[in-house]
Amino acid sequence: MAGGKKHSYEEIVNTFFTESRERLEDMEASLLALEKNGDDEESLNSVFRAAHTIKGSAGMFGFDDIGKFAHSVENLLGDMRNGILSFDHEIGALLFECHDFMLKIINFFDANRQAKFAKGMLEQSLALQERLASYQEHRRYETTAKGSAEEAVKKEEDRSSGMSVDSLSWHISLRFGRNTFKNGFDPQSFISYLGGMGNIVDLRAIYDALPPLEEADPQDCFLGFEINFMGDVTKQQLEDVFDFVKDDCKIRILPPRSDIAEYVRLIDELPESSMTIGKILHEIGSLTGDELDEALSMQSEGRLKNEGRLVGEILVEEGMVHKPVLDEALRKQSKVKKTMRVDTEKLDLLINQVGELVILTSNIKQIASELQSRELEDSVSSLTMMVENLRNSSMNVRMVQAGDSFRRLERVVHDLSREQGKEIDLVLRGGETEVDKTLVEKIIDPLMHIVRNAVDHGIETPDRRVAAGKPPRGKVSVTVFSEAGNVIIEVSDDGSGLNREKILSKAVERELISHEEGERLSDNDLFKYIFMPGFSTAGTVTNVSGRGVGMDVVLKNVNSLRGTVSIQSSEGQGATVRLRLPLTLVIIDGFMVMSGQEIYLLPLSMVTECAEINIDEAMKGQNGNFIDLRGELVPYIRLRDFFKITGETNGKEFVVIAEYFGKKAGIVIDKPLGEMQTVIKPLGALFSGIKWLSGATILGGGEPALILDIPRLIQYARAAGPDSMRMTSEENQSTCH
Amino acid sequence: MEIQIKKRSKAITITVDGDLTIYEVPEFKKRFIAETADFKDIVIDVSRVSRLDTAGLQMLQLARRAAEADGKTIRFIEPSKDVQRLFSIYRENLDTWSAYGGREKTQL
Repeated sequence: MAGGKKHSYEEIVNTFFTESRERLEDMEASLLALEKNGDDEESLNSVFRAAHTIKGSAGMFGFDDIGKFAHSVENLLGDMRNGILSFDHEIGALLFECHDFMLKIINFFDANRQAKFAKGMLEQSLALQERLASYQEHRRYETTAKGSAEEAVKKEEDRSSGMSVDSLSWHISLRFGRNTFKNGFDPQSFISYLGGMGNIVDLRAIYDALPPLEEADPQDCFLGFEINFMGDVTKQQLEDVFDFVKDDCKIRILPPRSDIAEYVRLIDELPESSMTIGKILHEIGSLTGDELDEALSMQSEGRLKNEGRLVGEILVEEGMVHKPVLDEALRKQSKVKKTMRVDTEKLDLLINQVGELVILTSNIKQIASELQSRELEDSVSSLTMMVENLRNSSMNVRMVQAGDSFRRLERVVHDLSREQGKEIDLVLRGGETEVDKTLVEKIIDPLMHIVRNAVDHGIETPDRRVAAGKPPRGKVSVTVFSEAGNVIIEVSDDGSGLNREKILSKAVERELISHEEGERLSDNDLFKYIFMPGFSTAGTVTNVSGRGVGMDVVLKNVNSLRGTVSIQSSEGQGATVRLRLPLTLVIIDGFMVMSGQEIYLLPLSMVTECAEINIDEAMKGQNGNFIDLRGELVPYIRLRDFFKITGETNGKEFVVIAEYFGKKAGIVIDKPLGEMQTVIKPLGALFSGIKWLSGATILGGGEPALILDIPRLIQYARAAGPDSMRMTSEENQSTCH
Repeated sequence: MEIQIKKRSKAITITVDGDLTIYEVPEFKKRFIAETADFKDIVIDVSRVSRLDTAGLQMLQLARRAAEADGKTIRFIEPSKDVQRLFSIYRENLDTWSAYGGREKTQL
């Protein structure tokens, strides 16, 4: 174990970003739960914690822009927790927006560590903060006025004097530090700025700290201000005004309708005499005469102290604000972690090395069998088993539960169904299935698109559903399970299903098939045309599907992961899109073949059969490169010709039938070598221009083998055939736009 | 800042010409203490103050309180535009700053 290396700042900041994203995931999940049940306290707490934690850690790492924003969100949530505001869809929508914005800026700052807000972000931040604040104030008054927040007020009262002041304005108390002027600050600029945020009802300068003239350094600042301020702002926004001087200015901010006890504490705390301050508070309108009397009598009776609250306990506002943050940070650090974060690069390195080890072991195995040493073979056999285990465990490290990432789909369904006035439940099944992390990350976008399609095109509006004899609430289910080294993801909906006629006419219109051919196609074969580039049934295009990501992109992404897509649908009943993907991206189950002296690997999942063949016979007089496979014409390519391989042949040839997405092609080779599981090595930049290979691997004997890019080869083989058989390849995509 | 002094028997008028800001206040303090020691009646003419900042305002207040503490009379007269501007930000009224030695104290 390489120990002793300290965590660099960089690593800690990375952790901040990762954890913030996790908190946001929690937040989103909890918001969705709140949408279902607005009284769900646990979810509300979870949303609050997310905002609170992000605010705190952002502050610690100096990402003030993130911190400030999170604080505004936290403020609103705090009011909700205190029962001053209650959750409704409007507030939910705002919180979702805030969530999205936080995710955006967190990703932004992650990518640009030193950066300030990008263009537009500041405006967006301020606009959202304003909405949060106005919402807060607006609702607070509304509910208070209606008296419906009585309970909330009661809650407040439980831990205070039981009397809140009448004033609906903020009270701000400032005592500037000695060095304010010398540090280049002038209180007038803060006051002016404050005036721009709302209305300064009244203010009084406090000169009580002024020393006698002879003793005074007139360049020191001895001033204080008591301000009655009215405005739609949050406490954070007010604190922000004084952010520059917060280190040497004592700032106390009392929100509208603060408890009278808060004012008593303020009076207690301020250095000036109670009468002086009390009188000023009354003069500037923060306290009524009665309230002032009450405050002063409470103070003289020491009622507050009997409550067990020491004056010293009340810290400067900043202290009060930041202490919980610090606590949270400390708590987090001290918590024993059940998981640990590891840089994915380190993992990849480990897996690579284990891969090498696997190769070396099979090398030794080969040598051992050649040496015909029984003892050596036994040892090597045990070693092989150990190495296999090691490989499996190290692969497992990359595995994560699919459900964590797929929760994002809930949001998509939630937003979209609301937008379109549909009622949809999303059911996630098999979330515990373990899938390669990289794979999850890469599949999530295509999956989102499929789900979006299901909501957009599949599920009908409630009244249509009822008319069709279905329950008004639609259902989209996403099911994940693993099956023979693959992971299967199914997206089903109980909507209207795919419209055969529409797809057929579109395919004919695009000249992808003739009408007659289309008529003959099975549903499933016909439905595959929706994965063609530029193929969308115009009548159903909405702003959602118009995002420029079509099903063709889905297909392309799935293919790049060595996966396949299929669709089942029955009209009126719904549709199911099925993705089949390898469990991991690092290992491939390959079918090894040989041509000349070269060894090639075909992904086993795409190989359907392999047989010895006599090309001349198989062609049966057909023109072009076709073989007759039990009556079906299948185009083929001969690897020898294709890669211009030279070398001896033994006169025999074999054809491997590869099938990809319902399209078959034959690959003619010298001889099959069998199945093999191997670690994929990416091809270097030098080979990046080669179209027909998707990777390489190293075989037991140390020799390299190239992995064929079957989808491309099939496309090529078919494109070389007659027009009627032509599949769209990327080269002729342009004809489809 | 230039300070012009006009002295009569018991009264002194101090006219501040130019800026009265953090940069000028030490000089002002020195002059004020030195010049007003022998006078019972002080007039501060702020009509020619081109710029007053909060340090300047605080300086005037320091002077006011010193005079008041000594039982002197102090008046601030003819505020310039910039003096009016700052006083209005702070909701101050220059008239109420005047202190009349021993007879009448202004309320704050």
